[in-house]
Amino acid sequence: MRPARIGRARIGRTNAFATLAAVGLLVLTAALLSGSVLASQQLVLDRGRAEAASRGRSGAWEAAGELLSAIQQTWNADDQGIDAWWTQHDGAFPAVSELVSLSSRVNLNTLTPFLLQDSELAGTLKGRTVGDFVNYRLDKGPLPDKQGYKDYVQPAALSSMYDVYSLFNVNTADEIMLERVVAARTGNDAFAAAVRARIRDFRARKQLLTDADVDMLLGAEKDAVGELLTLDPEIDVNVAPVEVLQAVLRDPDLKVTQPDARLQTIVAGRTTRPWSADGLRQALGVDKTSLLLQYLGTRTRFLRATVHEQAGELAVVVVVDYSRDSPPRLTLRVLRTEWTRS
Amino acid sequence: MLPLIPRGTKPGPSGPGRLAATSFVELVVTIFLLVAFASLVFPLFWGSGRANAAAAVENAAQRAELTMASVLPPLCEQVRPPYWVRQESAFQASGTEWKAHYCNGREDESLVVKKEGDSRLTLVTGDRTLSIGNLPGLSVDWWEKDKRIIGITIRWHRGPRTRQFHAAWGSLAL
Repeated sequence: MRPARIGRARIGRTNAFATLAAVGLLVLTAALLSGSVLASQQLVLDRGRAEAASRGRSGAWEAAGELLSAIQQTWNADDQGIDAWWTQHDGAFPAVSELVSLSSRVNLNTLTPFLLQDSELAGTLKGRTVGDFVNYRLDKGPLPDKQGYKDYVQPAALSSMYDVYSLFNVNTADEIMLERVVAARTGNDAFAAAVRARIRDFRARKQLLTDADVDMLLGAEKDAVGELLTLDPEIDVNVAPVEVLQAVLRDPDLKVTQPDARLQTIVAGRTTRPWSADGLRQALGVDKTSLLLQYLGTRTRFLRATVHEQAGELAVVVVVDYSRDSPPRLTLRVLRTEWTRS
Repeated sequence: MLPLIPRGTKPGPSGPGRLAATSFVELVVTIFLLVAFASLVFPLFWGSGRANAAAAVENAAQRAELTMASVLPPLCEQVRPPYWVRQESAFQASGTEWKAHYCNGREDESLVVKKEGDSRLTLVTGDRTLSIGNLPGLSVDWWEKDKRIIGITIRWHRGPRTRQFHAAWGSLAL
């Protein structure tokens, strides 16, 4: 009896050993296989994410490109304001959530303390004085993003009345900011200081610079400064909000007669057809040399389009050039793109 | 005198005969398992050494490409020189270093792209440094359009082919 018991025990031990070894081998094999599968899977996931992000970006770019082409090809700027064009065409661009004329807004970089102080614009400051704003801009400005002014301007006004895009009108822009822009553009601080001094002379005499004056002022640096310094007005009356137009028209320095009546005329007139330069001048009752026409014009120079995509939002800022034809041929150049992840 | 073992009786629980008999099956199983284990492991770690090395190189190249694709565009998007600056002061290149300045308020910040050796790309912003290796035959250039610098182009070899990656800035000077 005893040998038989010994035999069964031995077989049992052998079985247990074999089972343990087999399980060990199986676990090892499974670990190796799962490790390699996980590593490959991670690589595939990473690639998938990168490809999805890339697809999203190119999709958003494509939508923005289609919008800009459509504007270039179908917008008759003499016949229709950009807002009216967008109302008519927004259905064709489901990915584009917003098309805004930045020429409807006051440029916080060029806004003079006088206009800010003497108009309703002072009420849009966020618990700060005009002096605080001016000192802040003196320290930090000009700022490339309007969010840089968020501690100084009320959010609603910052969103609808202000931006930081416009050409720099030599007759209306803040002279310190003009000097800084010219210095940044030319890399020549002495030249920028001389430009500022000359502009101050003109302003002290209450005399507007003309094209010939600007040519003389810039001299050999004209190419370097390019189209940045201009005599074109910064604000487009065809799209500007009433608050902005009201602030400019009521500025005592501009001496507009019956400003509220002028405002009503402008706002009522632009609903049917955009104002032309001559029409606007007559409606405002001023001559061609009026300082008011250095502020208010009839062309949108900067546009911003926002494109929604699954992974985020693409904002594109475009500068628009107009030919002298009628209707004008448009040249659109992308100036800034900004991708915000959702 | 040694005690006699009765005929037909198997060895007791101790002694060399028992050891030999009980270990034989275990020995065979162990050898079998070792051979099976080695046949599984050997191809994985040594037998396919060359294939593994090639796969590692391929994976490293893929990783480098993915890292670049995921990191470079967001870094480049930060490069937003205001539209009034001039290109000469915003973008500078010298030998193996490409520097794009951008403005955060009046504080000048920059994205620096460095080519280190033949296969390593290093990206430096104000507070971050990222190095991407495994880019053999690496070369870096500005990405230009209409005589304006709109971004950066990076080229490298992957096997017999030349790969290239473009990343544009978030903004341009007017």
